[in-house]
Amino acid sequence: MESIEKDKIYKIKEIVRDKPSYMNYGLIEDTLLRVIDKSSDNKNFYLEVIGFNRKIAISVEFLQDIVLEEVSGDQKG
Amino acid sequence: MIKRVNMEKKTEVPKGCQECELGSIQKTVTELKKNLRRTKRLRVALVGQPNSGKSTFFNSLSNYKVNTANYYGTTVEYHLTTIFIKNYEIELIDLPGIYSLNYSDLAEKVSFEILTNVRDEFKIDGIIQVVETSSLPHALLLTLDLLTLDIPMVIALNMFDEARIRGVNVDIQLLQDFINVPVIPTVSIKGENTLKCVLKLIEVIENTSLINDEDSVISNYSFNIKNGSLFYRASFSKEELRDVINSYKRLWKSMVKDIFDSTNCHFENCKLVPACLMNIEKYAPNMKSLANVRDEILKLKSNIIMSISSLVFSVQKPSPTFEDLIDRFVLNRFWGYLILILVMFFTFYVAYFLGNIIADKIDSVVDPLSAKVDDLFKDYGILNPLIIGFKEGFLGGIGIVIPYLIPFLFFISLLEDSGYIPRMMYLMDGFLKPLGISGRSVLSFVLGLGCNVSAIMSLRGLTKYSERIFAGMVIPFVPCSARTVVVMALVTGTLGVWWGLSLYLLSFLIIVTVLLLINKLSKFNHLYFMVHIPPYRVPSLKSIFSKIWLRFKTFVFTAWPVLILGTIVLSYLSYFQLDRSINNVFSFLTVGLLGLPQETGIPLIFGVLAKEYALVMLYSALNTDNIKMVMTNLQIFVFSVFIMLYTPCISTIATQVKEIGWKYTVISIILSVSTAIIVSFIISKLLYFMS
Ligand SMILES: Nc1nc2c(ncn2[C@@H]2O[C@H](COP(=O)(O)OP(=O)(O)O)[C@@H](O)[C@H]2O)c(=O)[nH]1
Ligand SMILES: [Mg+2]
Repeated sequence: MESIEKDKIYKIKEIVRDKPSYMNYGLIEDTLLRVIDKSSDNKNFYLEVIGFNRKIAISVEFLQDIVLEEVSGDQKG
Repeated sequence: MIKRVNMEKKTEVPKGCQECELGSIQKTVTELKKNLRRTKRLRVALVGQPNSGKSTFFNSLSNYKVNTANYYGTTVEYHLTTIFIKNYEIELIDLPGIYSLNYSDLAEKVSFEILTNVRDEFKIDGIIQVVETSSLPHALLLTLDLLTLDIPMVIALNMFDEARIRGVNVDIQLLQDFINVPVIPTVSIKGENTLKCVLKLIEVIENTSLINDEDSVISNYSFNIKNGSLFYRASFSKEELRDVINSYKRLWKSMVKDIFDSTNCHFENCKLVPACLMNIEKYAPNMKSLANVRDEILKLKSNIIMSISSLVFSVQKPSPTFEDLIDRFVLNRFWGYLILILVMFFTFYVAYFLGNIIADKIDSVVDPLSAKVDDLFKDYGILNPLIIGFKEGFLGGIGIVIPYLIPFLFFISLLEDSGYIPRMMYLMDGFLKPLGISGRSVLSFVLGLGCNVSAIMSLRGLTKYSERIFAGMVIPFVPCSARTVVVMALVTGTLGVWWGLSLYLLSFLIIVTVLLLINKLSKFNHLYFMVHIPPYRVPSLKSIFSKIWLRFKTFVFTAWPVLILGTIVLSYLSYFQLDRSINNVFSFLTVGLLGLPQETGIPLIFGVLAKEYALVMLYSALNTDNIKMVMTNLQIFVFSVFIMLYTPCISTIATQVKEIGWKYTVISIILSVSTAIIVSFIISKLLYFMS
């Protein structure tokens, strides 16, 4: 997960397991995430779920169930 | 290495509701019934995501109220108020926030149980979904679930003022057309349109003819061709959406029915199936195929939501937004932590120094009055202890509440409403993880500085049971206002500020050590967190005061009565001179181990009732106003250390039992008592050799 970088935008390609719980926080497949901040130990991420106009803080362990794909900045919705 | 909580728990297919984790609903329902049996009313539930403004909405209608009450259910509190509108007696329920009918914490569970009217005993007649307009798409997740309940509904697009400022635009008419539910923009903080929502809902309820049941459940969903095609579509057009939503509803309901038929969970008309379905990996790991079907339907749900959103919702905001700029500062590696330290420092300042200043002012007023009362009732014989005890207990409460608790709660609520707390959780999570708690429990620990009771109650919002237990056992080590009073009077007052502060530092170190210790010894898993970060807001006084009141109430109605009762009992003990024998029993600890005067036995016992007592009792047991005359500095310090650490007060224990169960409460008590004995013993020896 070190590869997730600040200020970049990612698309959720797939959520591997426990979809309902992720959905509660607006994390669903095909939505875009903007990385607002990541903690210095790379353990926590502060994200904007763009389509939902929501911000969440999430531990890296949760992100491991999510397959992300980087999209170039101008695709931002 | 990653450990998982909950997910890998081995569970069998539930055989009946008594056996699945959801079985406890019976309790909640009976409780609710008890509270509501008396009158025939329309019951309206306020439902929405956390922080959408439900409570503000609820309070804005209280102009029409006759009474408002808060019930602490077995698991979580909910608020009820009765309002009279248009010949209707409406019972309004402010439910804990939920994101969807898939619950993950206790608070959400209660909402779910009430909404789904688990056993047809507690019927909700109407729902007002309170939506934070700025994130309408997110709220639609819940809307779609609520629609499947077939309960008359109105949507309040709340915080409409804020949404406008944040460049949000909603096509209300179109949204209404799609979901076939009235949508009304509201600003609940100003009470705008909240009444209108209720009126509209009444209208909907009046006009709802019986729901067409035959149409709503098709016997076998099995992806029949017509519905099946829905699953291959990523988006839907304006014209299709209304039909698609209806199909979704039907699909969902028939799947629920199907899952009910195919599991062993044969509780008649069990309304909990949707939750079972959402948690199927947890409750029935061998039914993977059902989980797959569910995921298909959820996919459809998200496609529907995205389609609706793209048609009705748009945001125009600058990049970066003002909030982004503040966040850059608040989350900055340097400035962020500097702000955090300042905030922590100030919190502590409010809890400690500010309280002391106010306490002095109060004392100068109260002390002469108190002496007058003593004088007045001198000759009342056997009644005298009752009156004096009551007075002492009451004043003791005032001495905690006004100077320490209220300013502290004010400041915390301010922090909370501004939106800083979740960011603080994010910043602190890294430090807390090695201690076995996640950033989410920070607020609870901080609240502990005010009153342990409300701190432990606030743990309900934590998703993981293990984290709740963990924090629930350790929070009693956080020095609450009552202990601050003791420290202030005994240590700071007699030995000086630095001694007082060192005591706080000590309890901080002990909290860290205890956390590390439990974390090492226990099987509790590591915790990850996922929290929702609300936008920054200018806190409103009204909302702050209602927050203070809610937390303050737990003190007033749980801790204070115990305090008053205890002082009365104590006055009688000394009236009948029973105190001496009690002191003797405890002398092995007080005199033997800790080198304290024998008279400290009684104060220690009564400190269990409320820590503040230890102080009141110490003065009266030693029969002095000047502790320094009868105790050495060393003794004063050791006594304070012991008071600070040993067993939580009785109200805290009661709350612990309720929230984390007997077993862990007992462990927690053993833990704190032994810590207190060991630490104060070491300190007494250490200081003795040093001096
Ligand atoms: N600007 C604005 N703020 C609101 C409105 N309604 C609630 N708030 C604020 O939103 C925050 C959360 O409200 P609260 O009622 O506690 O939310 P709950 O968690 O859903 O009960 C509080 O700080 C309120 O002052 C509104 O209509 N406009
Ligand atoms: Mg609320």
